[in-house]
Amino acid sequence: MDNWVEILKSGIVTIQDSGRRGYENLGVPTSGAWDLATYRRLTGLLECPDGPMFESLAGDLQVCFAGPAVWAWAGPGICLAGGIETPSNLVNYTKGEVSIARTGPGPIYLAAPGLCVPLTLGSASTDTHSGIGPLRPQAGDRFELTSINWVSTRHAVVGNFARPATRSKGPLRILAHERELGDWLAVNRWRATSISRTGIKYARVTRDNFSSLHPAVSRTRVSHPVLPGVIQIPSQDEIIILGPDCGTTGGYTTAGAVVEVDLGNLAYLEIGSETRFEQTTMECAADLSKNSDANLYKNISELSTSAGSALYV
Amino acid sequence: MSTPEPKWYTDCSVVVVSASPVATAQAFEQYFNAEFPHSGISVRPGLDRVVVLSPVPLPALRDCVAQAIENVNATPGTQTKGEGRAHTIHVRYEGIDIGEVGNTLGMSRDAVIMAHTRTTWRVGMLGFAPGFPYLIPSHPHPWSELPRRESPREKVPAGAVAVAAGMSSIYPSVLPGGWHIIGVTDVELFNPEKGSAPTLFKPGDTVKFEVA
Repeated sequence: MDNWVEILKSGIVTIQDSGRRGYENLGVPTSGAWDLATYRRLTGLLECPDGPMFESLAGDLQVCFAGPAVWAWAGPGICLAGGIETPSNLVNYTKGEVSIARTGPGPIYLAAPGLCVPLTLGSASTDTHSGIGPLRPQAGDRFELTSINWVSTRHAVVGNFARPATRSKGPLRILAHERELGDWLAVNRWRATSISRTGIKYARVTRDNFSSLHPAVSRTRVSHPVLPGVIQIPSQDEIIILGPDCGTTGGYTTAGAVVEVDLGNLAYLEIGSETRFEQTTMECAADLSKNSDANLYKNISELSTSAGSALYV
Repeated sequence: MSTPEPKWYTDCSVVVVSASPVATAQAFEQYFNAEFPHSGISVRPGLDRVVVLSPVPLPALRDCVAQAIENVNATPGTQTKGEGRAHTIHVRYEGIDIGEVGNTLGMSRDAVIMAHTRTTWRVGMLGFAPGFPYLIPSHPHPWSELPRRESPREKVPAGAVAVAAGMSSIYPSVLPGGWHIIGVTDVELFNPEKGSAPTLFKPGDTVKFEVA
C-alpha cells in the first residue's frame, strides 16, 4: 500500500456508503449511512459520490493517515489533526493522527476519497443485522487509500466547507397507516429504551385510557415487507422505529412511517430521551424532501465554484 | 385481479393488498419498466400484499400504482402466473421438534414427514434474513394449525428445516427462531459471492422436499 489510514481507537464503528439496493426482495437489508443527508454533504464536498466512510455511533474515533491524504469529518465531536482543532465539514489535506472526541449522541463520519473497501452485493456498507459486508473496524485495522485520494486534491478544493445538514428538533413527522394509529402515536409521549442501527425501541410514557390502543391492533400479523422508518407496534406500550439495518420483513402491525427527511434525526437520539410524533401529508413530505435536496445541491454547486483557503499539512 | 386501493406505506412507497402477490409484483414490474423506464421504481412482493417503492418521495406514486392496477386488470394477457424455478431439497428428518409437531397435530412422525414431502411449496417471499424463504403450501394441510413456538430459540442452526403458522422454511444461517425444527438440509441458501444471484430461491419458485 502506498498510502493508508489505520484505526487507532474506535468505539462502535462501521463502514457505510449510500446502501445496498436491489436485493431487498431476497431478504438483504439496505443498510447505508444512518444520516444520509450528512453522508451526501461529505461525499459532495469530497467529490466521491457513493464512497465509503467510517460511521461511529459511540465512543471516540482516532485514526492515522500514513501519508498526506484528503479527508473530511462531520458530527458531534471535537477533532484534532496534528494537534490543531479542525472544524467539521471542511476539506483537509494532512497526514498523521486525526482524533475525534465525541461531544454528544449521533453519528460521527470520517471520509477520505479512495478508501479501499471490498464491495459485497454492490455496497461497502457493514450490515450489523445480517453480517454482510466488511467487519466493524477495530484498532490496528488498515485501509488502503487509492490514487483517487490524490486525484481529489485537484477537485475537492482543500479548505472548502459544506454547511452542516440542518436537523429538525421538533416532533418526528410521520405518515400514518390509519388515522386512529396516527392519533395514538401523536397523543402519547415515547421514551427511547434502546437504540441501534437495526431500530429504536420506545416505551409509552403516557398512562390514561384515552391514549390506549385496542389490544387487537398489536396482535402479530402475517409477515410482510418492511422498510427503514416503518413504525411497528409489538404491544400496547411499545413501538419500534426500524433502522437502516432492519430485516426486510416483519410480523408486527405497523402504525405508519417516519418521513424520509427525518430518518437521519433518529441517529441522534439518546436512550432515555422522549420523542413526540406529528402526522403529516404525503405532499408535505415530498416538499420537505425537495427542499432538503435543493439545499444539498445548492451547497455542492457553491463548493464547485468557490476558491479554497490555505492548505495546511 | 380485483381492484384493491393502493395506500401510502412510507413517503417513498405504496402498498397494495393482493391475493396473488408474486404474480401482481411481476405484472407491476413489467408495467413500470415499460411506462417509466429508468425511474428507479421497484416492487416487492409480500405474502398478502405488494409494496411499490420510489427512490424519492413521489406524490404521484399512488396514482401511478392505481394506473398499474387498471392496466393489469384491463389486459389479462399481461398477468403472469408468478412462477419461477422448481427445486428439490433433500432433508434428513431428524429435527428436534418433529415429535412435538406430530403430537400437536395428532400425527405420527412418519405422517409429518409424508405431509411435508407430499406438499408442493411455493416461495411467497424472502425476508427476516438474506435468503430466508417463506414457503406457502399449494393446498390446505395440517400445518395451518401449528403456531410458532412460545419461546423462540436464540440460535437455530443453518440448514434447519422448519414449520410454523401454515408455512415451512429453511434457516440460511445461524439465527434466532421461533419455528419448529423438523429436519436439516445441506443446501446453501445464500452466498453473497454469487453476485447477481446470491440466493437459491426467488419469490415464485416452487420447492419439493425429499427424504435424504
